[in-house]
Amino acid sequence: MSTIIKFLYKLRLVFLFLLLETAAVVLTVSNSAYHQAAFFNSSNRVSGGFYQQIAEVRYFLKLRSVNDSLANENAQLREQLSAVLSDSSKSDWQIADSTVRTASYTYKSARVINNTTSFRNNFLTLSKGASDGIKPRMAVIGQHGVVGIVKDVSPNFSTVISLLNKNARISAKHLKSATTGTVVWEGGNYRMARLIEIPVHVDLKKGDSIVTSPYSNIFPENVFIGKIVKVNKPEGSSTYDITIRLGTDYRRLSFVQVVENSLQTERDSLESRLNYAE
Amino acid sequence: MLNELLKHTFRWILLVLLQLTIFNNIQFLGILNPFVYLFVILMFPLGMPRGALMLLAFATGLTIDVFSNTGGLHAAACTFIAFVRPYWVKITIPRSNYDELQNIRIKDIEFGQFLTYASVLVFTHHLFLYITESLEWSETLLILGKTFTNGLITTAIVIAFRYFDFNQSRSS
Repeated sequence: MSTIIKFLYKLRLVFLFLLLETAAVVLTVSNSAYHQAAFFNSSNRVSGGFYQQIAEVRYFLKLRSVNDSLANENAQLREQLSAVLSDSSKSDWQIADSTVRTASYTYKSARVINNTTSFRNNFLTLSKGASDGIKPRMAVIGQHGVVGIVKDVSPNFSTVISLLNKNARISAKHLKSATTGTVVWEGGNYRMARLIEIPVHVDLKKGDSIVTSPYSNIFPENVFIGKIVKVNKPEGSSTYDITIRLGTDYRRLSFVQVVENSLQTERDSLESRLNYAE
Repeated sequence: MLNELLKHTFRWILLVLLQLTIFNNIQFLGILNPFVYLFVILMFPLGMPRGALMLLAFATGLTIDVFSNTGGLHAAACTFIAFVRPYWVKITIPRSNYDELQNIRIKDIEFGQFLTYASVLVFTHHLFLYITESLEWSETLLILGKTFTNGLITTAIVIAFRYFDFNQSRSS
């Protein structure tokens, strides 16, 4: 008996090692599970506050380029507004009708206070949270297109699963042919992603736009994702292997829009009755 | 003794802050991200009890994890290098170099010895980290590439740090 105890005592360091590794693995797994309200992530108060401070400095240094991009966006919006206002063919009943029938989206702007691009699974932290009406599973889009999906919220911050993440699979559409596929990111270059599940009979060209599909219950339809840069047709495969250049430059992101789909819960609960895994 | 403790604490805080504010934000080409905070773990006293070393390394890794949303990846990798460090010290730093009390400090080691000691632990940490982060065979090349580039840069920075570190009473 005493020899066993001696033996186990000799191995105490190995046990400590295994214990610590197990703890680390548990933390890793619980963090990556979608939706799990993990305590150890940057939406918790301490680290959120810390990043807010860093972001203040970084934001100040970037003011000039932020200003330029906001001015550009302003101009674009004004242009679109005048186009809408001058379109006299739309009568009142058409507008009223369309708000009843389609999903209605509300936009909230938020500042990016933390952002990674070099990991296999990247996240962003935003400066708005539950008290500003942000909820998990809302869409996040930037000036140049899709950014990610809200994961967790705390009262004043929220974390976002960036498109540069193993868990982000975004339903996409080839704009010209309206064929749908899925955009995934496989690590490496943060400007490029892959578009899969587009059948080979579709006519594709370099430079074609890829936008969000109408099937998504998170993103509004036709939000820009990226442009095709390379089309591969693997031997014997029925689908293309496409590389796209993402519209969003994650390294330059400072403002994003969080999009709420007011009909999301209704559609989710209806579809959950179909009883298939998402 | 108290002085030493203060130095270690100060170094810990400074490097963790450097890592989180500057080095986690380089992200050049989406790949470059040296983990210079490893310097802290490399500089822990050689005679430190192994259990304490592992616990401290775990805590250091966890701190980085909490602030960079990586769950427990850094904690796992740091615990691993803390576990192998004593064996590696025995191989790389000859016994005759330190006295029975084992109160030698890292800064008294020669350059060549420190280079072998540090680089292997840095590369081990990076490889462990990138493998556990990805867990996909298909990403082997990416993992090796990231380990190589970041390992080189981290090692270079760690070596540089060693000369900027508190260097009064350098005996060599």
